Amino acid sequence: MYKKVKIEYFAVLREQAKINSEELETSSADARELLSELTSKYNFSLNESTLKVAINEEYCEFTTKLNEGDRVVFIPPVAGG
Amino acid sequence: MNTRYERQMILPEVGDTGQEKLRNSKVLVIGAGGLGAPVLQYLAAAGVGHIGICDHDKVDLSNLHRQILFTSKDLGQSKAYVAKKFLNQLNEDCQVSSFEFRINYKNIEEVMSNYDLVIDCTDNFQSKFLIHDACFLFKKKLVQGSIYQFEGQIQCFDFNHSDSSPCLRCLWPEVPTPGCVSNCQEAGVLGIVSGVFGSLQCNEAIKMILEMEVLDQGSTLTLNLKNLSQRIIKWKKSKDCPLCSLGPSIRKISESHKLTEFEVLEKKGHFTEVDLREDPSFDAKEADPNKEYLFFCQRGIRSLHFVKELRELGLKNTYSLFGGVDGK
Repeated sequence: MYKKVKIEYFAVLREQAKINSEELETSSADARELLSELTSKYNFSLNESTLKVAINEEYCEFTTKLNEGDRVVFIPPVAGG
Repeated sequence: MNTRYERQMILPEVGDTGQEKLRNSKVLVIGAGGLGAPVLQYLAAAGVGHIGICDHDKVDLSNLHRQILFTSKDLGQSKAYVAKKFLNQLNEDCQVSSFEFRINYKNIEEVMSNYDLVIDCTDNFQSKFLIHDACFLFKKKLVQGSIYQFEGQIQCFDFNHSDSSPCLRCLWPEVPTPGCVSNCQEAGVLGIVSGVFGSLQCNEAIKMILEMEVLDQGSTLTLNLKNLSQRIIKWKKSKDCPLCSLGPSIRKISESHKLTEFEVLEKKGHFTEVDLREDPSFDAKEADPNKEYLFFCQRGIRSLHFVKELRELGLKNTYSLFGGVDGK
């Protein structure tokens, strides 16, 4: 089943996707599937073990199901100072 | 009213009581770089009574576009020492101490012992997790900041009062791999970006001292200075947290890095040393199978990647120096 989600990219992912955010019709059931869909699109250098995902302003597991209208943010760790 | 602080003491949130709190506060700033520069200046200007500055590094010409405590005259001098001199001139009310060495698991308890609040202005995951864990174990307040190009994050923790709130290890149980994202040196940064995030960190720190509302523990503030989009993202306490759960695996500060089987902690005599900072080329075909090669660089990140590649080519006699030259 397709649903529309809003995705935002942070730090190195923003650099690699070359966009701040996008709306996407996706059949991905959870955050894990969505990340793999986006990784094949943008060739992200980071994977699930080095990233966090937040849905609607809360960090969550990659197994969290996606719902229509969710706002999904992928966040790599940041260390610059 | 003390004229120096008059304009902030007029604020109902400050007043005589707040100014006294600032005067009695003891704040340790670890990292006197891009984030540390505004943090240190605003702490001193506000009248924070005791300020500690910890940084092992020396002022380099490439620092000056963002580390605005330093001038061209300071090149080659210790950052902590120059920063201390600067703060002494800025405000003689502040007692400033400098710690001119790299924070590590052996010295962190002693360095932190005289301070109540720690502001983490470092630029690598190893230091950030070390400082975080130490603040938890020694019950300090902590304000963290980090930046990437035009973006950054800040987090606040009060480990003296908050047993029920999440810690950073609830979100990141393991220290992220060094080199999985770049630092300022590799990714580039505009000076003002570190200025904005350092100022935000200092604002949270001063509010903590004044016992005002700060960013909730277990929240990350992310801010993108390209389009000014801002977000606060929350995480939950984890019952499996290695640090703050009921059965934690981290009970004291110790050397936490898990060495890969081809990393070593120190240079030993039998190694043939290869300094990647001088010459990044190494011909795998020319390698002598009877020798053991030790590769090193500034921080041990590049050399680790390099050795991983050589190992994949079948060169089992290659090693990387953990922490690089900086870590020694």
